[in-house]
Amino acid sequence: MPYKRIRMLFNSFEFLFFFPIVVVIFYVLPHRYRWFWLLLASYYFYMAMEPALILLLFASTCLDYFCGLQMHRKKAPAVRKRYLWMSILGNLGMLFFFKYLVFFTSSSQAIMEFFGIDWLGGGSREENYVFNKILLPVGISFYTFQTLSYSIDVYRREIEPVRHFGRYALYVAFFPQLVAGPIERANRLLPQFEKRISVDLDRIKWGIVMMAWGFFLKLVVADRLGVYVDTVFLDPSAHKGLPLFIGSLFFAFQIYFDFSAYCTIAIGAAKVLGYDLMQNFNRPLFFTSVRDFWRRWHISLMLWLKDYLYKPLLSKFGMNKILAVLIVFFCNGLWHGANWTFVVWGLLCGLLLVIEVGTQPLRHGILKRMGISLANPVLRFVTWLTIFLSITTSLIFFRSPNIFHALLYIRNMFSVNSTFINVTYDSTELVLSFILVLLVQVIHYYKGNDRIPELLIGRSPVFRWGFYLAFILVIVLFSVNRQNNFIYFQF
Amino acid sequence: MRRELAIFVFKIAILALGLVGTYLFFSWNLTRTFVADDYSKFTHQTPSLVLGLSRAHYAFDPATLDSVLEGANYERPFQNFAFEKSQSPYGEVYLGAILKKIPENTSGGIFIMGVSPGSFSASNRLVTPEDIFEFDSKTMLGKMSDYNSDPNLEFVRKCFGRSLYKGIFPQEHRISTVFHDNGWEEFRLYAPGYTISQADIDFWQEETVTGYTKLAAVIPEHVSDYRLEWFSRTIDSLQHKGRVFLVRIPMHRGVLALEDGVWPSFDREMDSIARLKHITYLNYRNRSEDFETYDGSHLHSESAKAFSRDVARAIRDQIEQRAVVEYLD
Repeated sequence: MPYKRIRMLFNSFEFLFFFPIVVVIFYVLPHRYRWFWLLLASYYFYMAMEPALILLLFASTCLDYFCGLQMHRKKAPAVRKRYLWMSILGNLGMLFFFKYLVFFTSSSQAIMEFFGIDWLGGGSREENYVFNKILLPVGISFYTFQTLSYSIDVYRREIEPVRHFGRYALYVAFFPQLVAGPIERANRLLPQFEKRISVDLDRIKWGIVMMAWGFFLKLVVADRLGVYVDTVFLDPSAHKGLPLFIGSLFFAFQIYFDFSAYCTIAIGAAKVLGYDLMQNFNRPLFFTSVRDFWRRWHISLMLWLKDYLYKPLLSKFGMNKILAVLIVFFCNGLWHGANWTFVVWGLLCGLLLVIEVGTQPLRHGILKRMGISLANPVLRFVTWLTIFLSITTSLIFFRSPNIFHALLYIRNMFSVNSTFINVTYDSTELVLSFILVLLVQVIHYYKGNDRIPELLIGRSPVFRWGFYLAFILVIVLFSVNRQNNFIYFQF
Repeated sequence: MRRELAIFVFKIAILALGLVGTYLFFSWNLTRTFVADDYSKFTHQTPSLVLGLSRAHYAFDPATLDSVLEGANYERPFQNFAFEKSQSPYGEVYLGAILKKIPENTSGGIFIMGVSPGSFSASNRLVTPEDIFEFDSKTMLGKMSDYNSDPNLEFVRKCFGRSLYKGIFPQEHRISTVFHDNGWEEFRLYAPGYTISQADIDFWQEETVTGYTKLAAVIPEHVSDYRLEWFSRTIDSLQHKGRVFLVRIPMHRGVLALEDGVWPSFDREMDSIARLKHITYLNYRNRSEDFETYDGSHLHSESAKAFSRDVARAIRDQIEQRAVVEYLD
C-alpha cells in the first residue's frame, strides 16, 4: 500500500509544529545532549521527504569523516592524497549516479543516434532507462559540496578533522541549511556546535524576525510572481512580446526572492538555535558590474567554486583565466541541474563575465576619449540595465524545460506585437506583483538582506505591536496558497 | 531572566494564536463567497453521483437528472462529482473519494460513470502502480481527506491556490460559465452582453483537436492496467450502493477519430465489462449532431440539459424494465 509523505518544507504547516518543538527541547536539554537532538531532528526533517535517501546522506557523512581522520593521521603525502581522492570520487560518484546518470546516458544516446548507432537497444529513450527510476535526493548538490569542502580543507591542513562523529554528522545534516544551503564551511559551523548556547532573547527575536521576513518573501512575493511566470513559461507559443518580457523579468525576481527567502528562513532558524549561518545574498540587484553581481549572488556557492575550482585551475594547472572562468560557470550551470538548459545558462553567465573583463580596457579607453567619467550616473544606469537584461534573458534557459522551449520563448519575446500583459486575467495581482517587487527592493536597499530586524529595534512597543499585527494580516491575506516547493529544493 | 522568558513565550503564544485565528477567520470568510470552481463538490454527501472527467463535469446537470427520474426508485439527489483538468481518472484515489462522498447506509443510489479513453490513460512516465498512485495523490482529490464539510477549510488550505483577500472583495466570474451547488459547471453560449458565435465554436473545436494531437506527442500516454483494474473495483464497490451505468458522452467527430486511433476497441471493451458486471453501457459516441459541444469535447448548457434528460430517460427505462423482470421472477 503506497503511503502519503509528509511535506516538511519551511512553508508547510508541518514545519510550524516541528520547529517550535525542536527549539523548546533543544533549550531544555543539557549542552552535551543537544548535538544528538539536533541530529535526530535533522534526520527526521530529511526523512520526512524521502526516508530511504537518508542512507545516502549517512554514507557521505561516514566517508568524509573517515577520510578526514585518515588524512590527518597519515603523514605520507601520497597516502593523504589517496584519501582525498577517495572522498572526492566517492562524493562526486554519488552525485553523478543520482543526479547526472540519466542526463549523461540520454545525451550520449542522442549523440549516438545522430551517428546512427542505437547503443541502448531501440525504443524510446525514456522508456529504455531503468535509471529513470533513480530518485534525485533532495539537497544532494548542497551537502556533497559541503562535505567535499571539509575533506579538501583537512587535506590542505586548513582545519583539524573532527573526532566527534555525531557533531560531524550534524555539520553535514544541520536541518536549517541541509537541503538548499547556504553551503557552510567546516571552520565556520563546526566550532559553533562545540560552544555552549544559552537562551538569548534578543538573538531569538532576531532569528524569528528573519524567519518571518523569509516567509513574507516566499509566500507573498515569490509565489505570487510564480503564478505569472508559470502561465507564460507553460506555453510561450501562446504569447508574444511584452507578456514574455514581463515573464522573464518576474522569473528573475521570483528565483531571487524564492532562494533568498529559503536562506533567510534558514539563517533565522539557525539563529533561534544559537548558530550563525553565512549570508548567501548581499543585495544582488544593486550590482555595479557582472563581477560584482557574482560577489553578491549565491555567495556560498560562488566562494566554493572560487576556492576549490577556480584557484586550483589557475595555480595547479596553470590554466588561462578565460578558460578557467568558463569552466567554473559551466560547473555552476551543471551543479544546478542535469539539463542542457542549465549548462547553457552557466556558459552564458561565464561569457558575460569574460566579455566584461575582456573588453574593459577598450571600453574605458573609449569613455576616456569621449570625456565620460565612470561615475557618470547615466552611464552607470545604462551599464546596470544592460547587465540586468542580459542576466534576465540568460535565466530563460534556467527556467525552460529544454533548449528549444527557451529559444522559442526568446524568439517570441522579441516579436513585439502584443501589449496585452494581463495573461493571468487578474489585474489586481499583476499590479500587486510590481508593487511588492519594488517594496522589497527599497527595504533591501536600506537594510540589506541580513539586517531586516533592525527595522524594529529601538521602536516603541506600540509601533512594534502594530507592525506585528499588520504583518499577520499581510501574511494571512496576501500569501499565495500554492504550497510550492522552494525552487532550489530540486538542486 | 525567567520572568522575561515567560513574558516572551506569552507574547509568542499570543502572536501565534493571532495568526491562527486570523487565518481561520479569513478562510471561513472566503467560504461564504465563491471559493473555486469545484468547491461545491466538497461540501456535502450525496447518495447518487455523476463520475468521470471534464466531459462528465460539463455534460450532466444533476437537477435535470433528478427531475426526469422523479418517481423512480432511487436515492436522491444527484451530485456531479466529475472533475476538470484530468483530476479524476479512475484509480484508488478516486474510489477512496467516491466512497467518502456516499452516505454509509446508501443502497439505492444511481452512479453514472462517464467513460472515455482519457479515464484510463496514464503518462508513459508513470510505469508502476505506485507511480500512478503517487501522481493521483497530487490531484485535488488526492490532497483532500474531507469531501463533505461546509465550510470546508481543508479545501481552502489545500486546494485554493490564491490569496484569502479574494474573500473580502467580490470575485471575478467568467461570464460564460455558471457553477452550480450540485457540482455541475454550465457553459452558456448566451449571457447578457455576451454571445458565443458558431465561428468561435468552430475555431475552438479545431483548436481542441490540434491541442490533443500536440499533447499526445509531447506527453505520450498509454492505457493503464492499473486504471482498468480500479475502474472494475469502483464498479464493484458502487454496485453495493446502488445501480451503475456507464456512459460515453458525445464529442466532436475529430476528437472521436483521435480517440478511435488511440484505442480502437474501446467501445467493445466497455460493452464486455458492462456485460460481465451486469450493468448498462449507454454509448452516445455517434450522437454529436444531437448534442453539440462548444469546444469539441465539452457539451454546452443546452446540449448538456438535453443530454442529461436523454440519459435520465434511458436510466428510468432500465430501472422500470428491471423492476418488471424482478416482479416476474
